[in-house]
Amino acid sequence: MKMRLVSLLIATTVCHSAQLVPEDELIIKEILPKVEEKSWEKIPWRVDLWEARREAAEQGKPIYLWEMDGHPLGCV
Amino acid sequence: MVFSDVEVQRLLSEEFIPVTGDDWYQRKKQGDEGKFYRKVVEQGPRKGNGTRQGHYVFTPKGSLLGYNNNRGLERRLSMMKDALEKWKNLPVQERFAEVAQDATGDERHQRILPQGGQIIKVYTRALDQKGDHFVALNDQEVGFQTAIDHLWLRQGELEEIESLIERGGGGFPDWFSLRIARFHLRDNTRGEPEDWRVSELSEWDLKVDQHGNVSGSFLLQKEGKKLGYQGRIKGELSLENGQLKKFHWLVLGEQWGEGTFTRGARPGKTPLGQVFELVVEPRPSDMIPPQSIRWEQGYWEAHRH
Repeated sequence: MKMRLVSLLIATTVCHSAQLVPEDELIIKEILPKVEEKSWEKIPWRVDLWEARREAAEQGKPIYLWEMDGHPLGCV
Repeated sequence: MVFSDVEVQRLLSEEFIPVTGDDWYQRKKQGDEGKFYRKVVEQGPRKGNGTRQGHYVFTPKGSLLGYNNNRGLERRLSMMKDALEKWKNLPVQERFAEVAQDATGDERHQRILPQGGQIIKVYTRALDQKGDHFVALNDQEVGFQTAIDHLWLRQGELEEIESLIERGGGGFPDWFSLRIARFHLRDNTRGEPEDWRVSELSEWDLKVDQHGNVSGSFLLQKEGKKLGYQGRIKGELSLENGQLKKFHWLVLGEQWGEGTFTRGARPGKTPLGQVFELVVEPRPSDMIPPQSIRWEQGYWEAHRH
């Protein structure tokens, strides 16, 4: 019963109009990252290891590397 | 959410040069960067040909000062502070290095957006239903955060879409439809999903009208139907002189099942929402390649492979 209701809600929501309507924008807002989910953006992440190495060597700082399968700032 | 901690943010911003990397490419890279990377990680606990994922602190000369692969805040902070302490106790000459301006490259293990290409940010979130509305999951649930990927479109492809709209609209070309369907309509909120095969696209309809209004529906499912995603697409796009001015799409559907690296799915069919949004002024984090472009030809020619 709950699954059928979800399907119905999806069909109703996205098909009501050929154009995006205010209700769609509310869902879009819910999907986009919340403020607390974007807090990692406050950190000045580089995405090029060699470039980061050059900067660290010039500034006399250690390098912090966050390495994941799937880019850490992306998919996973 | 370690990186939302104020002290972690302060340390990373002030005391370190923070950098991120996709280990799938990094561990395979040859050239100067690949050699340097392996020099560092081989001092850590992860050996062999498998993943080297984790958090590493090291000197510009490549001496490892700390490693951690724990998600807990306390242990991460402890590693960072221990590494900083080691750094500060190093002789001054160990903290600086001569580093060449450019590293010798490895094109096979690098993906760069072609000249004139554009980036679409793809946000994916598992949703819950509350009455007549969809809401984000609470933060105690697996995969509650929005996942991010990027869709890349090349200049010639953009011109082709602009011509389609100028001619009055219609179904999108296969290369476009299949790139989106196979590589971007999927649940990546709990880990790395598999790409869909062409044969797994059971139903597909995606078109644009002469005003740039986009609508469509889809059903993607694995053989045996244990993993699938079904939903609808609605949005807008506009182009001028072969360049996107707007790409604003909502995808709403139900997904079910889990893949090898996306365990922990909720039982049954559950709502999934996606937003496709044009990146207007790319920052470094926006330049990260699409997850599925590891096989580059397969990504650009999704309709052929």
